[in-house]
Amino acid sequence: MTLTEMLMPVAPELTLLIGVCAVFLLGVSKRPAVRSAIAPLTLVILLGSLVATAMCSDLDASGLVGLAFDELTGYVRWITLAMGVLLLLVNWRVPTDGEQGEYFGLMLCSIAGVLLTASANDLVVLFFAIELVSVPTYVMVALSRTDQRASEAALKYFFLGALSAAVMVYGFSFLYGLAGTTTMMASGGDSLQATFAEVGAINAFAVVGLLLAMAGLSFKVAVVPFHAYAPDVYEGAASPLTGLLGFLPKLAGFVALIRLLTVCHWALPDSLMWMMWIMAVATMIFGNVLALLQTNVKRILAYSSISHSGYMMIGLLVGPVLGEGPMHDGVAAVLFYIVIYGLMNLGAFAVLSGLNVRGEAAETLDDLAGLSRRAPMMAIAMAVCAFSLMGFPPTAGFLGKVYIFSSAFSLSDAHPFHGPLVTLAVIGVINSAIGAVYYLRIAGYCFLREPGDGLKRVGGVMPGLGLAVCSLAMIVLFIRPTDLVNRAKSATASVGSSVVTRVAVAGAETPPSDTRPQ
Amino acid sequence: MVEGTISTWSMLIMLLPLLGAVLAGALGPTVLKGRSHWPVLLGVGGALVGAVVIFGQVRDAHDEHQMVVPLYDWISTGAGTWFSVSVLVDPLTSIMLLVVTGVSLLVVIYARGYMRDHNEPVRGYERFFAYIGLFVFSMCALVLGGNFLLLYLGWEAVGLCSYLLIGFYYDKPAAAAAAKKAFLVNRIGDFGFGLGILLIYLTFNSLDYQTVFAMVEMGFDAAGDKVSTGRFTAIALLLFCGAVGKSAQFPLYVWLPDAMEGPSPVSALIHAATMVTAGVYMVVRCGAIFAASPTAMAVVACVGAFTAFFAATMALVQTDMKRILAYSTVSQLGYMFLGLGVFAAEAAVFHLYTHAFFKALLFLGAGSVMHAMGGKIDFREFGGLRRIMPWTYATMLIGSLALAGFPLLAGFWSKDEIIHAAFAQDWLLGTVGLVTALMTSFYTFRMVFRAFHGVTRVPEGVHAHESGGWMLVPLVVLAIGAIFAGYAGVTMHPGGFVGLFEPHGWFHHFLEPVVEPFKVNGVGHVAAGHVGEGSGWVVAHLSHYGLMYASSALALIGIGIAYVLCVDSPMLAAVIRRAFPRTHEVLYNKYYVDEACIRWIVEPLKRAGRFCVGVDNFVIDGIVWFVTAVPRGLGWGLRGLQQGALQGYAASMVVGLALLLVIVLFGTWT
Amino acid sequence: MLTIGLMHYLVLSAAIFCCGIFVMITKRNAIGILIGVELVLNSVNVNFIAFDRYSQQPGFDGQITALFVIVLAAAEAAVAVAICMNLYKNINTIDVDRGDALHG
Repeated sequence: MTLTEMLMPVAPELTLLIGVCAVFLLGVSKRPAVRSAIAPLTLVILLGSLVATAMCSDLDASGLVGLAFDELTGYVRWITLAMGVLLLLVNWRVPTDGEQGEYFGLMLCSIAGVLLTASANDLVVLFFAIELVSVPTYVMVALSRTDQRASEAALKYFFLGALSAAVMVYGFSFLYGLAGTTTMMASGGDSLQATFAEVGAINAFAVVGLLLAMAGLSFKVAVVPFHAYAPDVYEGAASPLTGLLGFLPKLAGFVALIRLLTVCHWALPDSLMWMMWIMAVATMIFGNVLALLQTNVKRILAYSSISHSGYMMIGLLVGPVLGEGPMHDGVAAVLFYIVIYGLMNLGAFAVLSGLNVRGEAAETLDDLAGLSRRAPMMAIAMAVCAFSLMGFPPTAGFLGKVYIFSSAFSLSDAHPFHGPLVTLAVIGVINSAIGAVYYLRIAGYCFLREPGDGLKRVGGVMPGLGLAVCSLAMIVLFIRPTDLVNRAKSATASVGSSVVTRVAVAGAETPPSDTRPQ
Repeated sequence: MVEGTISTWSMLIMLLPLLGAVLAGALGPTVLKGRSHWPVLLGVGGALVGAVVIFGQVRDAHDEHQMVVPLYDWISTGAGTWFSVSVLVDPLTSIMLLVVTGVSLLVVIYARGYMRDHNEPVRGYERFFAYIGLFVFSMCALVLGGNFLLLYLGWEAVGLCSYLLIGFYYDKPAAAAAAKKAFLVNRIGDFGFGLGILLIYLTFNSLDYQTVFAMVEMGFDAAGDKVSTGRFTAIALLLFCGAVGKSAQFPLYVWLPDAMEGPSPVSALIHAATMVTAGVYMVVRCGAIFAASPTAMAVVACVGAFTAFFAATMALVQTDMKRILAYSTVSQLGYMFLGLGVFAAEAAVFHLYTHAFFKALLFLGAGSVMHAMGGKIDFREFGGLRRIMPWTYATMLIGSLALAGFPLLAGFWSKDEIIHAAFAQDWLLGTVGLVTALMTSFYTFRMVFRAFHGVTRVPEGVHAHESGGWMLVPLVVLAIGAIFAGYAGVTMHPGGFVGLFEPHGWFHHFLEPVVEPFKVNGVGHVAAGHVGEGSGWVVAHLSHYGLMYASSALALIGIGIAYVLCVDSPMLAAVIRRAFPRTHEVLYNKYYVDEACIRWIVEPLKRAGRFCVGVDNFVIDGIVWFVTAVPRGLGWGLRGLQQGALQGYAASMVVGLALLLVIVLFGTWT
Repeated sequence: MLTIGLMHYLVLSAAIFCCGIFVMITKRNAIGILIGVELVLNSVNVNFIAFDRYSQQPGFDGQITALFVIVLAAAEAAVAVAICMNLYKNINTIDVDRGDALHG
């Protein structure tokens, strides 16, 4: 096997990493022309990585230690790189002159981290991939604006992130102690998955390890009680960056959680299931009730981001159902939802970043008052994103919520978690109703208030383009979700293959069976 | 029919106008400005090409008259498709598409000239074209959709576009009020329509046209039980509610005359040629359901005949050209429903098709007059325009002749067929049709004579002028259509009407597979020679050709009366008016229907509304306050956790982690 | 005589872990908090090495992981110091209590 053949499967990541070097190097150039070429270069790198993703269909990981490739990897690569392009467009003008190199280089690092998370097959690689997503974002928060709040946000984000990373890797150490290997899955030979099949999940090391690892990952996806950083960091960072913070770490966290749950065959002990259940309920409620009290749109969206993580936890609890669409398959629903969430969240923040009030970036509800008079297209985009976040047709957010909540009903009646999951879905629906209050308030301020002074549209072509794509995608994905749904559906093929049918869909032949080791 | 071609082009037909609308809306204010019509013009033009291609495919299909092409699954599960987005293409669809895209294209061209003030685009120019593009998209989705859900979505979407376009001049109070009225009145009809679709779903457990109609024809519901005629009647009448609203039939016609507050191109496109015919399309599409219920058919026929007559009487004395045309539209739509009700669906569709030409022409012509008169459209303020606006006059004259049923023009053939079918069913319906035809030719030519003949008068301060090329070209094209379009439904036949023509031509053969349900279940059909009771006298004494001669004579008489009263001796008209003051008063005030509505419906509702607001303020708001107080209070409590200090956050995380650890460890080992 | 077994190491690492967390929660100085983070990461290292030493399976996964964690700790320290400098530029102190402009 030649080196080229060996490295072919990681071509997208390699493209990104080479790009990171190039961007960092060009960033220190003294010539403004070179520095202003960095953002377009980053775009080229991302597109190159997309091309590489399309080209490397042969995903043979035999030459690479600690990596494995499956349908989920492909899905995550596509959506991350495509969203990466949008994130770049929206962030086009964020870094001050002279810092483009650092900012966009770090952004590429973060994106590469998500890609690696999706192909990690070793606890060490998984840990490093997740830190590769997070650490650059700490720095980006500090870089995103010259403001006391930004550095304060970076400080909080960093230390809490470091704490959660340490907790996560502490958990990994117990999983290693249990299996004696850090390999997650292997066909034959030692692996965590094989160990779990052998000893089951009710084992002190297993329970403690899983709990700590899940706790650490919960920080990345902002789940209660590891959510505290989110509102402050979202408020402190520049709006376009916040769109990134709401997507990349969340996606990495959910992918890692899916991997971890796949390793233990989606058969957690009841106590851990209940733990996730409680976290999901707390997350939904906490995010929504605190969002109600906010007047700063960025904080509203931060709390809404917390509550959306709660909705997605429902899908994780349901787990994969092979061959079914996201109506039954919880994991497919999560994979679909996170894309929608990333788009609508980015769209909302892009609107904020495209507006200036008396020379300062728009942040509060009052800043948005009367937006429909000053910048009607921005107001419409904001309304589309708000409706989508609310889960109203005709936007994709509606479909996302339908999928997540309906998947909760797919466990068979005999399953011990059938009842609790249905309850969870009901709590989720009630919470969506509470959420409607503050999303409608955002839309209401845009359309029904008299405009204040000094509201001005700023930004440029690229952020505007990114915003237009985000809000159009909400409508288009509502009208035609098929392609994304099919990709999400096939992406669960690999994570679900370790699960013996634990779900009986109405009309299916297979009798319900609970494979959880007792 | 080739499936690939159909699916590609039907997607394009819908997407191109939508794309045009999005481009016009997004780029219009900043980039395109006065060129905002181009994306929509090109998009609608592309849709017209698609309509022609699909028409060709349907025409050349030999045995397969209907094709359903699933485009994609909207929401699917592994077990099965819950709902699929599909298009249904058959002769009816292809004709509707041609009419919709063709008229739309002409109207967009016309609007390029019309929506300008001294060659400067009016305010909201790009908004206008964006709405038009959106409308074409919705209307095409409505006629292409392969199931009731898409039909309903398209139905609501065209209603929305109509609302937006009626209220286009939203700073004019009359326009805003008219838009609101149109919206509210349509809600009443749509409510019934929605219930009808729900009932279909409950009965047949499907919303797919093919599935539902197959079951209807067998007469069994999803559970395999026989569906009672009462159930069919209920479904058909509920669906018909929607048609009554959308197609402005009695008693929900009241919104259409007011809708003339919108720009004239909109009146031509939406409120004459296309959207208002959606009801007719829907009844033909659901022919199987309607034909299964004799009661429903009778209701359709009676509502149609009454509306045709009733609206025509109101048109007799109006002085606003667009209002006359609006009442005329209501009346002509009544003819179409009369045709449907007497099982002559092909005649109704034929009339829909010819009507689109001449009524769009008349509205555009009226718009041209309005443009020249500085926004005035009441012909008491001007007259004798034929010397100033020769082209507008010539084309409007052709359109008026077609509307009046002048022999050998488009309107003559189709209207005559409906009247004949009505006679075959019941002599009273036929007579109403004939009398209405007389009134039609009178009010049409009253309008023409008053506006274009006599002494030239224009309002003060108005520089009257003939319209420019952008406006005249569509007029000429439509005028040609108004003359010749009828021949699609006529065959040459020695010894026929005026020795040459035989009605029932190619158009009818083309539509045959679509209107089959009306033939299978229909109790009386003209071509089959099966004659309903009570019409023996007419059929015995009046052959089809005889009826044609009679209605031609009536058209000429109507024109003659109009000439006498409006040009020759206007004094006579005044004498007649004075002789019947009450009648004139009642007709001029449109039977006081609006006033009655306000007095007996709107006001009581308002009072009820005020009462409800009172209840709402105290009871509901109290409950809402209480309900939201819970999350709010919870929020205030939890807010203490977000004090802002880093250590506090770290502590909350650690405490949370410890709690989880305790819960899990106890949960696992107790 | 007391033999030192796996459990002793695990208890040691748990103790270091708790100390680290305690430092993080109580220290005001940002560098002090960073030291807490390093402590927690080192407790992880103790765990990995101990598991590796007492593991039945062949291989050095644990030791290698510990090396990687040390590398990560170094990288994080660099980022931490940079962020502290940034804070110092803005509010002239690295006392994290003073950074509470964001709350609620």
